Amino acid sequence: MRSTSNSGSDEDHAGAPAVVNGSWFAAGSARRHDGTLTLEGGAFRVLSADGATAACPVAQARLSDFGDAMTVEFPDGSAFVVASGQPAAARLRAGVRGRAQLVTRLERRWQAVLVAVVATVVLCALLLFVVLPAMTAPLARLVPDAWARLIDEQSLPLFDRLVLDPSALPTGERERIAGGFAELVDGLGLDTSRYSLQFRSGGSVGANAFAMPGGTIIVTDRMTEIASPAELDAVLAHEIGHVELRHGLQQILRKSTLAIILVLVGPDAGTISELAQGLPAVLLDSGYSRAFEREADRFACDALARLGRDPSALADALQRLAEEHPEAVAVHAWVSSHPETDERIATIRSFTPAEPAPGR
Amino acid sequence: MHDDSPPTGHDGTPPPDLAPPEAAHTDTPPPREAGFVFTGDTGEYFRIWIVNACLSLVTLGIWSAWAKVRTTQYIRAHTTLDGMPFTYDANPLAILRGRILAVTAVGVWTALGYVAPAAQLLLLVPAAFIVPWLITASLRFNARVTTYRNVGFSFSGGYGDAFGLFIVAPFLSAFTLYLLIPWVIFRQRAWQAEKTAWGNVGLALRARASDFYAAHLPAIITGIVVAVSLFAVMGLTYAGAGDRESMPPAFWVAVGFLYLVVLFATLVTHAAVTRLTLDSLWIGDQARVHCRMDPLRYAWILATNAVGTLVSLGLLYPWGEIRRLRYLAAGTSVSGVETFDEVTGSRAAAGSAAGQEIADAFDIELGF
Ligand SMILES: [Zn+2]
Repeated sequence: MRSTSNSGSDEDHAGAPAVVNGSWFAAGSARRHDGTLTLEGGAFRVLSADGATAACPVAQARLSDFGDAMTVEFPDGSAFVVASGQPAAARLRAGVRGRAQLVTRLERRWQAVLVAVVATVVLCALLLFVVLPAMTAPLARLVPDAWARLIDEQSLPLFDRLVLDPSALPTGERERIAGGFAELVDGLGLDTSRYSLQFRSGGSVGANAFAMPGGTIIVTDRMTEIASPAELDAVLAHEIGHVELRHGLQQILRKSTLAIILVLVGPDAGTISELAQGLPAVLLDSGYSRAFEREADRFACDALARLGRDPSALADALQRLAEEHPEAVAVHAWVSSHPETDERIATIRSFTPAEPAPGR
Repeated sequence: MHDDSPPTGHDGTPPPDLAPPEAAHTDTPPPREAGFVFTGDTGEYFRIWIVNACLSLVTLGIWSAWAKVRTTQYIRAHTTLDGMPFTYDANPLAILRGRILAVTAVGVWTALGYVAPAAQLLLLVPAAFIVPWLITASLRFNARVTTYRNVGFSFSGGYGDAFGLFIVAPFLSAFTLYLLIPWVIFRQRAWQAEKTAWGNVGLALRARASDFYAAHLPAIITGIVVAVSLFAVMGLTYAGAGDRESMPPAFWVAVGFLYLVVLFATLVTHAAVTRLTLDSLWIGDQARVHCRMDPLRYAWILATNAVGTLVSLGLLYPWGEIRRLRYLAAGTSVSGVETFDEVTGSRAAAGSAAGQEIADAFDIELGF
């Protein structure tokens, strides 16, 4: 790498002329005139082998300079391309601009490059794991409830068409579960009008329950079959946690922000970027959703304890779900793993309601 | 701009003998061939890339416009043909304005996907009318900021042609089991070339549609082979396991392997089309591009670059780019460079970068 200490100051070039070889092009012409470019007395002079000449004060010329590749553009539209590999080019560079641009100087210092590597890695990690998660929680609270409900209204028919079927549960059973759900929401002092409990047959989804951003909670028939009433209430409390903590909206905000960040700082579009962006996005997403699951678990334990119920019912429900879906554990072992479920169960079982919840 | 080059057919036949009169009675020297050389250095490019990426992060993305100009300038300045570099003169402010528009569009589009997927589907209709504009604006911008030997490039393709080639033709080819796709790509590339000029010299793509079908052959064969083996693997597994719930791990290994095969075939096809396009490109009537790179080797470079970028969390991206460009340039040359002396035209000033930035943001693939 070239030395960073530019020996040539503005006065330096005045004494000894800098001469470089290259090709000169007249304005509006691609005809090549091989010759020399001389920098002397604050002016450029071109002399080509075929006798063409040009001259211009240094201040009016524009230098595009990238290491070996150097072009001097003159105000009349002509240009001189400096042949690569000439030591005198450094003197030319010094003569045109006493000091290089700040960016250029940073790019040439290995210390600055090292700092940039570390800073980029640290900033990216900070952005993805600290700033983005911290930013989306308050931002999600700003989203009006009506908008969140709009998302539910738009996506529920889509789910119905793609994966879900109408529920086969008898009306009495539904009323019993809905009653328990209303009691839960009411007992926690939450807005009942925000919530809507939906029963569906899960099809390939099997036993499951999920919450949509606007307060729609879906329970599959199989879920009601495998879980006891107390366990089902615990699962519903977990889903209420997703809604209250606005996890669905946060996920949407994070994904949208990531898409924007990729536009701004991601490598240029192309075959490589598509391949390289897919997997990290999936891993990041599953990392975020794990954190959400833990938060919803904590919310449920807290809520159940406040209502005087046993939080370990949630652990029992998770246990049953894990037994119900062994193939999901085998296939996605590296995304949402079985040890993950074990860890969640252990955390729930060790929950002590005596601890005052910090957020409330 | 006045273009006085004689018309040429797209059927690949050489143009009629239209040599200048003085060449008729003197000894015509054979066309001189000069190569593309990429002189970029991995370490140097890495420094520029990482410093600018870091500044982009620190400035909340604002510097990214300047970063793009600097990295592209480095690449162009180190791409030489016959010893002469290319230059890239985009105005960072124009790119920044374009990026702000692009970011807004991406944000609205993504949010709409969640809030109202039905509205997003409806928006596909106006989007189909916007995309041709994005394509022509993008090609125009990229041509106008590029200069070689003090003469700028230009692009004169219109909205109507872009709409036909990038919206109508792909839509129609869906009804032909995508058998028309190679022909569509051929027409798109030919249009791009014909509408591009370097000074007063027009470019042209002298290839046949059959060449593009041949370039797609690896993809078609792989597609058939993979489909057949997928059925075979599934059949064998069903016969062995009996039920869907307990697919053995070997099944997933086989599916993963087939997926990788398809990915690589896609890259080989991309490489073959790139080579064919470059190899069929004429600059005026006497100069033409030759591309002798090996599509398999190029695809391998693309694949290993992707893996390297992935495992290094992006840090090896500059290494991959330099490696790719070095290989591509080394296999590409132009014969008839002596005619370049007669080319005239000004360095054109670039306009708005909005179309180009939005096209980039939505991954609309362009270029040779
Ligand atoms: Zn959950």
